[in-house]
Amino acid sequence: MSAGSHAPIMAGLTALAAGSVLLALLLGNGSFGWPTTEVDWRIVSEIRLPRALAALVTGSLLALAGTLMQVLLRNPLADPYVLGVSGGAATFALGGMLLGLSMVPTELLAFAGALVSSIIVFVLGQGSGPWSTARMLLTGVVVAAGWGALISLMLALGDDQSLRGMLFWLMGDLGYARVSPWWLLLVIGITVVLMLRARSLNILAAGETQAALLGENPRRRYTEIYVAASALTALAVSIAGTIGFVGLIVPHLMRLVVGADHRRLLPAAALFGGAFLVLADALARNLFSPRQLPVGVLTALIGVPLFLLLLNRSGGRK
Amino acid sequence: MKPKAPTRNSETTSPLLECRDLRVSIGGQCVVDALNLAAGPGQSIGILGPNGAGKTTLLLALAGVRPHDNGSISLNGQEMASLSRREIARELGMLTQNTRFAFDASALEVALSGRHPHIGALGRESAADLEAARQALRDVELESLAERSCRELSGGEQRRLALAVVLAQNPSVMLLDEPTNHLDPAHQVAILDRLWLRVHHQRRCQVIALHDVNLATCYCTDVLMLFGDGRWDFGPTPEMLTAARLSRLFGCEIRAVSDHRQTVFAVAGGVQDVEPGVR
Repeated sequence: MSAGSHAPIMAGLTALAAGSVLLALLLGNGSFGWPTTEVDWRIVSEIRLPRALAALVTGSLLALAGTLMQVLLRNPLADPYVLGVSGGAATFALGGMLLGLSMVPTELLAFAGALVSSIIVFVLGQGSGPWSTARMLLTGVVVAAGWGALISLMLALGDDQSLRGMLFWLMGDLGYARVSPWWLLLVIGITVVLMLRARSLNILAAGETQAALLGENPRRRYTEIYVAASALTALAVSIAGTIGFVGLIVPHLMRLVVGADHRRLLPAAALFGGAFLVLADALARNLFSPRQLPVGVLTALIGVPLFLLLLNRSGGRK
Repeated sequence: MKPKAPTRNSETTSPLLECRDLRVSIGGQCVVDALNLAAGPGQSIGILGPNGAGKTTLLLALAGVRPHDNGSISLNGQEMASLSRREIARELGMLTQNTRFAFDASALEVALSGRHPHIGALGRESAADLEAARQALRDVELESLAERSCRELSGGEQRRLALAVVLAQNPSVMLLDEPTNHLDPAHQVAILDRLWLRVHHQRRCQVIALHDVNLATCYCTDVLMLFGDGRWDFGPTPEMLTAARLSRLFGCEIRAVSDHRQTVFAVAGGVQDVEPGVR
């Protein structure tokens, strides 16, 4: 119950996140070791470190977005992409490539696409009546299918050379992802701000009517959560494309470890989401070295059986 | 067992919850029209009516979470429309008909959520809040399951946990939508006893939607009858709960059966000339 009893778990998760980054720095080309030559040092500091930071930031963002989305849809099995955000991002990014919009960074296009998709789903998903998670979900699924059709169309029209770049957005890849250390501060700031609102999130997870009866203004709060979750997902997608299953599984797993109280769940999810993606990416770089896998393939390969396991667990309990 | 029907203290006090000229409808169908109701300290108002008469809809409207067509509702003399949800939640709590727990949390954590409106936006639960939540769990006889996951509780236990949330909230006006659903007779009486003592000793008021007419005779000072078409009838329990009125309300024959201690209402059921089991 008290914060004290969970302090060791939080310390452990922090150590895990730091350890995963260290491991990612020392692991490369299928070998593991402390950098000795100047070339080694430059590889670590200029290639592996920005990439590990990108993985850490993206994993945290996805886990936070997933946690929020699960409150919004009041479903522990919702993920950040459920409302079509990733499809919008990929469509805009691919469209930019296809039209040869070289002066606009693809990341920016992806971010814009993610937001456009969020806005479409938000506007269409709200009826005149009370907030309906079912309507929101259905709208998201249908809009995502629409983006999927556009993506297929563009892949069919695109030439072979651009195909590989396009696949990046669809699979999720940290191979070209670079973020500055400031992003780390941004993610920590976002986590702290969300933690300050965590008690409200706990109440909102109980549903619109119950939240209203306990003193929240659900309409406004759900809108805020929607905006926050969409923005976090859009950021993550613009860094590394569509990396699946992190936002779905990490909050779910952390709920088993620290419970459903968002004051603990949010930092735990941010830490574990980051660590998970750093480790997955380190594995993706080295598993078939020198060939590098897109990390999205790996998270899906780990995520699918894990998800089924968790689903089975929660299904058997109820 | 309750010795006798509760009686209302006739001292004149300002109402805790009051509605004037209230009109509520659902899906174009009017539930109540021109309803004037005032619930003061020590008052326990039972809402009776056939299925679909709009008991739940009316309670949600009184709680301010469902819009009404016409009229006004005031809480402690203040217009509800001028109050924030947070201000309302400090004075008014409601047990809804269905409680679904989507996420795992311990029973104590769930009960603690009732303290939410009393804690500042950036504050944490104090020791007093924790004690209020524990007391609420004791009141519904769930203290031994405080650390158990709310999703592992039985239907009746989940119902009592939902009530513990409202008890921890400790509002002066409590709206209860069929609080005895899923409860066995012993727990029905225990819970309603607890609620009644709260109303009586702490000068609170409650509005309860009930299915069981006989529980209303024991635990309600006044009764509001909803006929399902906007018509309503309100009055003190002894006046309202008669076989004739109940038969008219529910559209079937209801008989009053009396022993020396209490009067019980029973449905005059059964198909003539056919005994059960020999159909």
